[in-house]
Amino acid sequence: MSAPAAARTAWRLPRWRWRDALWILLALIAVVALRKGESSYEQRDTPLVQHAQGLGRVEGRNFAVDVTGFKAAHAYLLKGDYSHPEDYLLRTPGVWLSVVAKVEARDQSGYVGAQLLTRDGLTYVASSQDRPKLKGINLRERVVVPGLPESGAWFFEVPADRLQGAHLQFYWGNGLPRGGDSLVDVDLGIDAARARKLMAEAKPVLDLRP
Amino acid sequence: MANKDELVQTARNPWWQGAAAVALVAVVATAALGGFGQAKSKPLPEYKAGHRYQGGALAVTPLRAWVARYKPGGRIDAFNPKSYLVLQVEVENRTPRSFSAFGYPQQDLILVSSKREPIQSDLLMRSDDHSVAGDLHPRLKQRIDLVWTLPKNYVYTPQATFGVFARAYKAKAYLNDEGAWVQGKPAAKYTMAVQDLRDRAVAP
Repeated sequence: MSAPAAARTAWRLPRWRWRDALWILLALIAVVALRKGESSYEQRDTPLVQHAQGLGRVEGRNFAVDVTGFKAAHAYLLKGDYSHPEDYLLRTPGVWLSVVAKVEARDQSGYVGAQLLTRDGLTYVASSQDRPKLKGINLRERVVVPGLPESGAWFFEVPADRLQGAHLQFYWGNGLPRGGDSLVDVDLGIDAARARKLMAEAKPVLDLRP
Repeated sequence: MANKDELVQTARNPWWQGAAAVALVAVVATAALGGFGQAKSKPLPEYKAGHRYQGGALAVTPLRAWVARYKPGGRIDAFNPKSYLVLQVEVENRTPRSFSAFGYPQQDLILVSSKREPIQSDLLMRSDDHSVAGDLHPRLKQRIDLVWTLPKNYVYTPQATFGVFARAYKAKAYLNDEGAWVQGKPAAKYTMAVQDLRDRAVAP
């Protein structure tokens, strides 16, 4: 055999055998089966939900919250600041729900996040520090230090027809809790009658000026 | 160079036969699905002010547009005079969770330049109290002013075109299988009359 012919033989593709096809098929079946059995991202990242009922103290990882009350209002009257000194009305396309609470950090400093979960699964994150701008009262993004509890309120903008069945949720940090971290879920006990009462007692304008 | 015998041998090789069959099926399937036809560009639906467009994460109703020498609720800056284009829109968050106005609304509702390039707004403000727009909450319709700072050589035109991108939920948007609302293609455009309010000293 000549040298060029030997080189060509070395580069020839391997012979097709049905056994190869079988191995490929088995590998594909294994990949599909493993993918199907894999947990979803939501399952892997789901927080540890701790359920609670009504007002009072609840505890999560590194924090405790004592909810003392909540009320609804259609608009807030606020004091102006140096750029707009006049008092002003803060309206919402829905209704304002304020949740009065005392917050504690237990081991390290940081923030306690709050959100409202409606019975149809919509999540309303507590309104930002600028809405309403109430320094020392609005608890959103307020740093809490161990041993120095902070009192104040979270403010939520919610459609009036979604108060019934709403749950308050607390977690450590500004972002959503990571998988395995605690998410404290508080059933506020807002049934149909309570929701009607809340709305009936909601002031058209709640004066929050100091 | 390969001789005839080698070509015949190669053609009899089942690996090459398999590859040729796959290639043939791909070509036939592409042709059958219209892959070799001329690509058709579907014209975007064009709407006027007041029409509500729902594009997945957002529903938007552009209401009016104007040019002024102040931002909404502001006043003319005598030391650094500028002009602003403002688009007032009613926005509704259609996702199940609150999000920042500086996220999807700023990315999805854009000004279309004369060169047909998308330009994002510089600032989003609430129309009622002129504060900087923060979070948009689910199923609450909120009126927002989108503000573009105009260049010094801006020439007034009585009409402007604004575009809306679609945004749909994708269950496995990232490599870690996390879901997300992903921006899609341009979905609609609005041709809006632009009021010239540059002669006014007081903001609307």
